Amino acid sequence: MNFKEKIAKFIFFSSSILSAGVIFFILGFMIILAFPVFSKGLFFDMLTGLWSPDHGLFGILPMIAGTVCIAGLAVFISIPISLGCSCFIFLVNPGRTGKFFKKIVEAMTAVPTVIYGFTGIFLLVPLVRNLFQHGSGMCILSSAIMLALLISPTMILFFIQSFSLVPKNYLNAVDALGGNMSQKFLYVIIPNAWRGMITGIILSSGRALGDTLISLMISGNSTAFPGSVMDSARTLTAHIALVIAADFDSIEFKTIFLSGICLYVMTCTGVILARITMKKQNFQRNNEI
Amino acid sequence: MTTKNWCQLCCKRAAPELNNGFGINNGYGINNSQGRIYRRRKFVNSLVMTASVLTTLFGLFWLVWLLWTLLSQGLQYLKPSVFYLATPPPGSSGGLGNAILGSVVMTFVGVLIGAPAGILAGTYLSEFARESKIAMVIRFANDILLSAPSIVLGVFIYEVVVVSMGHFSAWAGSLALALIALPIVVRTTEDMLHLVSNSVREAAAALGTPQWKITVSIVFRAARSGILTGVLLAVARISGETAPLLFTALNNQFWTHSLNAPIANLPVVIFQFAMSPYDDWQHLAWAGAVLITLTILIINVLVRVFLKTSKTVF
Amino acid sequence: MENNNINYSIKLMGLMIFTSVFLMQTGICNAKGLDMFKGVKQQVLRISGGTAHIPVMKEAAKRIMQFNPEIQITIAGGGSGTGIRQVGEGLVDIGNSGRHPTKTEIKKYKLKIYKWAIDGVAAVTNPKNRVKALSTKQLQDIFSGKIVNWKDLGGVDRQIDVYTRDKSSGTRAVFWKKALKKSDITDKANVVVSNGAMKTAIRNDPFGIGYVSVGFIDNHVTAITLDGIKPDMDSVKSGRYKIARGLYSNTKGEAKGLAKKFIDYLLSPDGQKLVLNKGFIPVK
Repeated sequence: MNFKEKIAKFIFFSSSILSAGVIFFILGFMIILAFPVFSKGLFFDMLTGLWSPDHGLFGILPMIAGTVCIAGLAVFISIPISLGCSCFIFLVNPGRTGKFFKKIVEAMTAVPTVIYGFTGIFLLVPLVRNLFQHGSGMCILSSAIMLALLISPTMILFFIQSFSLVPKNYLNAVDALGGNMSQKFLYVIIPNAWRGMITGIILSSGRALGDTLISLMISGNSTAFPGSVMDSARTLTAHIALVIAADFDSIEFKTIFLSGICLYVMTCTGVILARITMKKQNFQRNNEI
Repeated sequence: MTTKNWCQLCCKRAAPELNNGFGINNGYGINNSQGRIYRRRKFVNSLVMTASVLTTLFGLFWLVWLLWTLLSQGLQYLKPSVFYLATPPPGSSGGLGNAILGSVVMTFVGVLIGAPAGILAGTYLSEFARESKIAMVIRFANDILLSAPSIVLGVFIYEVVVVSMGHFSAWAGSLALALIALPIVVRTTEDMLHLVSNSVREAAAALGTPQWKITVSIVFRAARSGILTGVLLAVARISGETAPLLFTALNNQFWTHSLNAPIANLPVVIFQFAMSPYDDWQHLAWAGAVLITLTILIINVLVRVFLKTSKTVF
Repeated sequence: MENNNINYSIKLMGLMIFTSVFLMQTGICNAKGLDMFKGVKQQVLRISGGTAHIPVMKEAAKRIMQFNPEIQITIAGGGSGTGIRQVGEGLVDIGNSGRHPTKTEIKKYKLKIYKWAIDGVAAVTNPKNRVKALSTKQLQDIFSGKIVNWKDLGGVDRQIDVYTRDKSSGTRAVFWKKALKKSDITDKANVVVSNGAMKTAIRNDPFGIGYVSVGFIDNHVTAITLDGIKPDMDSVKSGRYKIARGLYSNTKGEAKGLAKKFIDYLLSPDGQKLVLNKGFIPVK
C-alpha cells in the first residue's frame, strides 16, 4: 500500500516538475543559443542599437520600442473601454442585458488573433489611412486599436471579477446611506478593487506584448525607431517571425533569441508584479475581515 | 472587517457629500448649497452612467462590426466543398479540407500530450503539495508559461524538434500546441479540485483510504466535469493558435498521410491566404476565419454547459 | 445492431473516399510530360523557398499528384534565403531561390543549381497613382527615403509608403542590386513576407510603392516604367529591361529520385509551357 502511495505521488510530482521545468528549460536554452552574442560583448550594443543589417547593425532597440509603444497604446485605449463596460455589466444593468453582454465578452476572449489581424487589415487599415490622410494605415495606431479589441474582453472579465470581490455589505451600506450608483462605483468599488484591476491590466498587457499575428499583419514591420503613432513599427514577436528565415549562423538569427529573452523578461516582470498586487489584495482583505 | 475601518472608509470617501447631499442631517441648513451639491451629484451620477453606457456601446460597436464582417464575408464562401477539397493552387477552385483535418489532428495530439501531464501536475498542486514551497515555485513557473508569448514557445520547439529532426512536422506543431495547452490545464485542474469540498476527502480518509486512492477515485470523480472544462478551454485556445505553427508544422498544400511531414492547418492557411493577392484564396481565408471562430464559440458554449453540470455535482 | 452500424459507416467512408478521389481526377489533366512519374511509389517531395516560384510549383505539383496520387508534394514559401538554407540543412528536398546562390552557400551546402525560368523584378504602384514612370535616380531616392512625397514626382500630395521585403527575399536582393544599384533602403519601409503579400499591399494602398516579380503583375498593380522601359515579358526576354534574374531550384548534391523527376518536368516542354502560362520566361 505504502509503495503504491509512493509511486502515485512520484508520478504526480514528476509531471508537475516537468511542466514547471519547461519554462526554466526554455530560458536556459535561449541564453545558451544567444551565448555567442554575450561572449562577443555585443549584448549591450544589440540591446540599445538600431537595426540595419546592410550596415552591420543588429540592434533590436526599435523592436523593443515598437513592442512597448503598441502594447502600451493598446492598454491605454483598452482601460477606459473596459472600465465602462465592466461598470455597465456590474452596476448599471446587472440584469439580463448585463449577463448577455458578459456572455458575449466571454465568447470574445477565445477568438484567435489571426482573425483580428485579418479583419483589421480589411477594415481598420483603409479606415485609418483615409481618416488621417497620412501614411499607409499600417501603423502603431491600427495595430494598437486591434490589440485593444483583443485584450479588452480579458480586462473586462478581470475588472468584473475584482468588483465582485468587494464585500457585499460595503455595497449594501452605500445603498442604506442613500448613495447613488456613481458614488458606489467611485468611492467604494474602485478604492477596494483597484489592486485586482491592476492585476487584470498587467496580465492583459502581457497578452498584448506577446501577440504576434496582429502586429505582423497590421503594424507594417518597418525597422525604424517609431516616432509617432502613425509610423509603421515592428514588435519583438513579429521580428522573430520575420527573421527566423535568416541564415542560422548569422548574427541576425541570434537576435531571435535575444528578442525571446526580452519577451521572457517582460512576461516574468508582469507575472511577478501581478503576484505582488494580488498578494497585497488578499492580505488587505484578510486583515479587514 | 472592523467597524473602525468602515467608518474611515465612509468618512474619507463619501461622508462630506452625504452630509450635505441628502439633507438628512441638516435639512434646513443652507438651502442654496444643498440644492447645488445635490444637482452636482446627480450630474456626476448621470455623467458616470452615460460614460459607462457610451463606452459599452463603443466597445460593442467594434465587436459587432468585427463579427458582422466576419459572418457576412465568410458565410457566403462557406460551401460544402470547403470541407472536402484540399487547398488549391492560385487561380483554381478548392477548399480547406486538408487544413481543417490538419488542425483537428494537431489540436487532438497536442491536447493528448498536454492534458494528461497538466491534469497530473494540477492534481499534485491541489492534493499533495498544497501550500508548500515547491508548490509556490511550480505555480509561479506555470503562471509564466501561461503568459509566455506563444511565438517564444514556437522558437523553442523549432530549435529542439525541427532542427534536430531535420524537417518540419506535425509532431513539432503538436508539441508546440501541447506546451500552450499545458499551463491552462494545470491551472483549471487545480482550481476545480479546490472546489471539491474537504469533507469528502476527510470522510474517505477516515475510512482508511490511502491518499492516492482518494485522489483518483473520489476527487477526480467529483471534479470530472471541471477537469473536462479545463481541457476544453485548452482546446479552444490552441485551435486558433498561429504563431508557433508558422515554423513548426509549416504548411502543406495537400492531404498529409504522416505526422512526420509538414501539415496544413487552418490558422496558418488563413494567415497566408489573407495576405495573398488571389481572390479565391482570400475567399477561402474568410470561410476559414468564420469556421474557426464558430468552432471556438461552440466549444465555449460546451464549457459553460459542463460548468453548469459540475456545479450540481459539488 | 452494432455491426450494422459499423458496416454502414465503413460504406459511407468508402463512398466519401471514392467521391473525393473522383473529384480529384476530374481536373483537367495533361499526361504527356508526366509519364516519368508512372510507377513512383509512396514518396514525399518537400519544396520550400522563393515566393515568386509558388504559382508554378503549385500547379506542377497539382498535375503530378493528379497523375500519380501516391506522390506527395509539399510546398512552402519563406523566401530564397530560407529555401537555400533549408535545402542545405536537409529540411527540404528542393530549395527554390529567386537569386543565384552565393559562392559560399554553394560551397557550404554543396548545392546543385537548376535554372528553369527567367523573371523580371519591377517596381509597382497602385493603379490609382498618376505616377507611372520613374528614373533610376528617382527610384533610388524614393527607396532611400530622400523623396517622401508623391507631389515631388507629379502625383498627389501624400506621403510615399515604401514597401520592401525581408532580407531572406531573392526578389529584394535582385531589386536592390540591379534597380537600386545597392543604395540604401530606408528603415521606415514597411516589410512584407512574400511576393503575394507585396502585391496585396500595393493593391490596397493607393500611395504605396514596392516591387514584385513580373509574373505577379496584372491590372491590380501598375508596373513602373523605369528609364523609359516598361517591364513586361517581352522587354525582359529581349534583355532591354535589365532587372532580371533566373528562377532557380536547388538541391543538395546532384538531384536524384523524385526531386530530379520534378525538375526534369519543369524543364520539359510541358513544364516550360506552364512557366509561360504563369507569366515567366521559359529557358528553353
